[in-house]
Amino acid sequence: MKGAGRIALFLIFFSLWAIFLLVGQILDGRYKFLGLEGAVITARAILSAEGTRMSLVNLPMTHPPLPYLISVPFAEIGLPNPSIWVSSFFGGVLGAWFLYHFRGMIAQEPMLGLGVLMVPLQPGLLHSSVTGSSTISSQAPLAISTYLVARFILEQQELVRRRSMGKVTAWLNEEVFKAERMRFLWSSALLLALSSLGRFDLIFAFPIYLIATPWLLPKGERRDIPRVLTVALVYLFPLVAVQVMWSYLCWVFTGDAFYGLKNPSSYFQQVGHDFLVGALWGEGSSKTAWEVLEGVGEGIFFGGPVLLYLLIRIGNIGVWVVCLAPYFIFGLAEVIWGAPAAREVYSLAYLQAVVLVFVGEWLGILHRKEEFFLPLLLVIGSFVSWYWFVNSPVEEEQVWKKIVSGRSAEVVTFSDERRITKYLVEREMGRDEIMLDEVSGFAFVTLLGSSRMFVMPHEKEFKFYVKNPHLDIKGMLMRNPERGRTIGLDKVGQEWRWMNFEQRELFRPTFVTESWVLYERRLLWKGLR
Amino acid sequence: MNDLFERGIIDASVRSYLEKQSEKWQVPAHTLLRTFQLISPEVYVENYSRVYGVPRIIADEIEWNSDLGDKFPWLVWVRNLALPVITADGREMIVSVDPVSLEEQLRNVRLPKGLILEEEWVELAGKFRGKEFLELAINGLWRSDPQRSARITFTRGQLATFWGMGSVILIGIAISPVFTLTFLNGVVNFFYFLCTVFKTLLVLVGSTRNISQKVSRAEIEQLNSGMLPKYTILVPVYKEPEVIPHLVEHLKNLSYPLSKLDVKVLLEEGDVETIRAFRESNPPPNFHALVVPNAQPKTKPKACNYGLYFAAGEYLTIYDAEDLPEADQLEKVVIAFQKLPRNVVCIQACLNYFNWRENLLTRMFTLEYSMWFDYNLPGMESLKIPIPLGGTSNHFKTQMLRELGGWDPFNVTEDADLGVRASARGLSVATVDSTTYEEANCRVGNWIRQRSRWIKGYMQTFLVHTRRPVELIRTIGVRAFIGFVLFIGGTPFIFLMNFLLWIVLGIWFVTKTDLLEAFFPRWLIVLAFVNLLFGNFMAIYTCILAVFRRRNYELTVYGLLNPFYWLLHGVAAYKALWQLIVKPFYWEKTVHGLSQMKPAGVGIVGNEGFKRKVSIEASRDVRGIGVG
Repeated sequence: MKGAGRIALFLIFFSLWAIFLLVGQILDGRYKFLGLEGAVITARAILSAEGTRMSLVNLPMTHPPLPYLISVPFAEIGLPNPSIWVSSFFGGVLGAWFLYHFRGMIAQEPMLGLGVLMVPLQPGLLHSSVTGSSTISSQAPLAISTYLVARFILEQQELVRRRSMGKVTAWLNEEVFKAERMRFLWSSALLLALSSLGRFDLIFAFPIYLIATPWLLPKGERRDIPRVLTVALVYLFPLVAVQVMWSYLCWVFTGDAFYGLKNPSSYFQQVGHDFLVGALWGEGSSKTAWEVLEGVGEGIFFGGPVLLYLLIRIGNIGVWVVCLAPYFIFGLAEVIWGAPAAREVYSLAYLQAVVLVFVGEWLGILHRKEEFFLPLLLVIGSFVSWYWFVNSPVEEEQVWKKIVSGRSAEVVTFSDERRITKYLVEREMGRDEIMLDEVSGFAFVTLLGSSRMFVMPHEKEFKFYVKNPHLDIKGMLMRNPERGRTIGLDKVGQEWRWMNFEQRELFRPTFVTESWVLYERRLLWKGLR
Repeated sequence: MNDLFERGIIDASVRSYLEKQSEKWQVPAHTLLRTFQLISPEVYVENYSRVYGVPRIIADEIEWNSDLGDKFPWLVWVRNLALPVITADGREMIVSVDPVSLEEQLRNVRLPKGLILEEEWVELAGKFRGKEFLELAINGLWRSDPQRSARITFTRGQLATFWGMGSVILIGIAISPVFTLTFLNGVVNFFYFLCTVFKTLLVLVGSTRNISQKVSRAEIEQLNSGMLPKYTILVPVYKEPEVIPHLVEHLKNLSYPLSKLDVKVLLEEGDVETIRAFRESNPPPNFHALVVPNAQPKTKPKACNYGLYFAAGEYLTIYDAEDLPEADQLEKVVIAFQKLPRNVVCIQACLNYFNWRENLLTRMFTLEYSMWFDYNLPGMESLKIPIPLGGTSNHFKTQMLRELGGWDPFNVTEDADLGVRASARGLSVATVDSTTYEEANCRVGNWIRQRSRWIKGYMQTFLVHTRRPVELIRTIGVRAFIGFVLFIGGTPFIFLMNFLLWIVLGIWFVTKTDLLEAFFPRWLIVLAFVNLLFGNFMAIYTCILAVFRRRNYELTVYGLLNPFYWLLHGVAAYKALWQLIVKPFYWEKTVHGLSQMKPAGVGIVGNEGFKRKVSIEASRDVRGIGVG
């Protein structure tokens, strides 16, 4: 890459990053809108930045580490909403990569540029880029990985075809060609592994990828077992390795390699219990397999309408599998949750469609007419996906409808937490004065931009204080069971939701909302007098 | 030749072939008679004397004529395989292997010419000039540029620096042990991290590049063999009589015109068995046994330096005794040199092993070599980082090599040192798509000996070239300097530290002690985990990738065992460190010929026929460069 190219690339990247970041901060500042996952990641990052010692909760063992790890430096320097800095960063990388990587072909076929221009405006990608969601940190590498592995598969297949026609020498130097393909495979593998750090459950697609390995090779080479195994190892070793690393970290810090799965605040536990078994047997979900399949199909269709056409058009089993494997995970998550998956994840279909159009164009698979109507379909599909997205049944995504339609000047999320935070700030609470379980109360840390006010379960003192809050604690913040809210994982609430008379003498509810109740101490403990 | 035909010594088919070959190679037909060993030396000499009227001179009865010798550069005598002598009866004379083909400047000397055999020329040249050249071979570099010689392992400046640093550390430990040890821990981890990232980068860059100089079959076929220059091959051999027959056969199998090869088998004085084995192997006359006089240090570079004084070729390469180069390697190099810029002093061919299937160690070694030559070197070439040459199959422009000062006889990885020295002089090194197959070390003890020498040599090279760091930066640039530090310095550093850090990790695993926490603040523990996890992951992954260029897919799974292979490196590294201090120039001899898998080089030469072919016993395993 030459100097001017580098500058152009960085300009595109920084512009997109800045735009996404600005939108995200405006959403928080003006519309009082914070994404749920973004708030969690921000809270974790702040806890890590402020932590005085290593602690499991401050390590990325309970949530996908990629967005979290990159958030920590932003939290260290005290920037607001670190998770949005990170998600917008990935949004910028993705947009810049698409625009820059395909610039040559766009220059030749300007129609193709239309599809690429719509990439940063994809509703799901836009949503995850500006809300601090981890989705973008998973989908950006996954989309590029799909592109690279598709090239690896299809270009080898094309080489075999041309070789049989005696056209290889006219097309490419075979050795240069093969070196290039290797680069595609390992780059794709590393990106797939990176993607799994943004979305852990991708590891459950491992068997699918493994079974598909022979189809990564051209027809004549699929029976060469050592070669197939080598390709499998190159493609899937990084994916397994990062998961092993994760387990290793869990083991080092907790003595249990699968602590990340078992920890109550872990991603998997929050997703559901015994999810894998549940998923396999259809338990834990009210949906039938058919309904899930229907939902996934709908997601692919509306997310990227051209994808299915392209997969059929290309007709390569390897490409089918690597493209569709992530949707198995989306479906699996839906089974586990028993709730509709966030529609933002299906933006992957649009990205995959774009990259397959370019791979097809590069290899000369596409006809002249397709070069015209496919980009148009991409653009049309892009608008369709907007319509589909704003009508999402997922609560967080629904607020977009309000923002996009301009029907509301304010789409407040975490409204209860915002009110309590304001109260706490006004009360000028000092360090370690409020007891809070950040697993459920992470939003307070995010909104305050600090955890200093709280004593939390990952701190050594917590075990003592949760039994003896009257000794040195000014307040307790817990889920409000009296308004029908479940205590769930809230350790403070589990201990103190039902207070006896004497305890009520010590702690009085001073701020009660639908979700939370703040108890403040009003008397000194008699025993100390 | 006609005379021989008329006398019935050679038949018509041989004469016809020799005439054709003579025209093709542009060499006198009569020299081919000897090259192909079609007639005995006695018949050759008798016939030569009769046809050209040049008297046969008895080698034992002549002395060096220093007056005449000094009138021409030594190289002129070497090129012509001639010597100025005084006979027993006091006559001045020029004796030569081929007096009628002498260069004009020697032909014009109004002195009678005499005939000697090639082996006699080598013997006489050694006798007349050997001591002088031996002295130069040992101390030449040291005298001309002591700062670039490893004769002194640590200079005063370096000793003062180490002493100063050691003192500061000790004082620091006395005053504030936790801070000092944490600081050291941080420095170690940070440098380790940089080395890991750099090595990963090298492999990743190298994997996207093909070998820079690719020479096609068509280019070789178009080559005019008559225009090919003389090519010197140095083969240092020490106490390896059993590999000599293979060596001779392998060299005969090269497709380069045999008469244009100038093979110098460098034998050590006193190594009677190997010398005898060489003589018994009936080598062609241009395969010379050059006996290096006994002197310390007894190292390969010293022998090579000595051989350099007798090298007649325009190009020069080094092969180990057990090497099996691809038959067209020399032609490829000649073409590559023609295509490359003039400042390229050396072209490195790839090295790999013919016995990779032998056992686990050879498999790991093969993976490592594949990564080194197929990924690291192209990566270094792309990033313009000084390339540490491999031990063999590095092809030089002989004159430029002489100007560089040859090899450092005190450096036990003289090849790596030479690569860096070349860069420091603004010269560059390239690689070519040809492979030499060697014997992989198949025994652990032998492997550790060889590896400890390599690591010690890297330490020596690092110490030598960092004596004048500013000058080095000025010559090779900042990027190349960083690459040099991270690669040449980083390699032994990583091997040494791996061992240490794994011991620390092991202690923690077993004891779960909190004591270590004091030396691992939060930022450092993150860095340490990155090194441990990312470093090991990349080491394994790049090892897996290494199989692709040569399609050795059966080796892939062994890449997973790379961390265990590193343990052996750790042992070798500590041995190397110890030897660097107590016996820096000691040459840990690698024993060859241990493999049960023998390469079979078959060369059909002489009056049996003139076609050459290479067949390798394990040819199914040895495939050409290619990816996919």
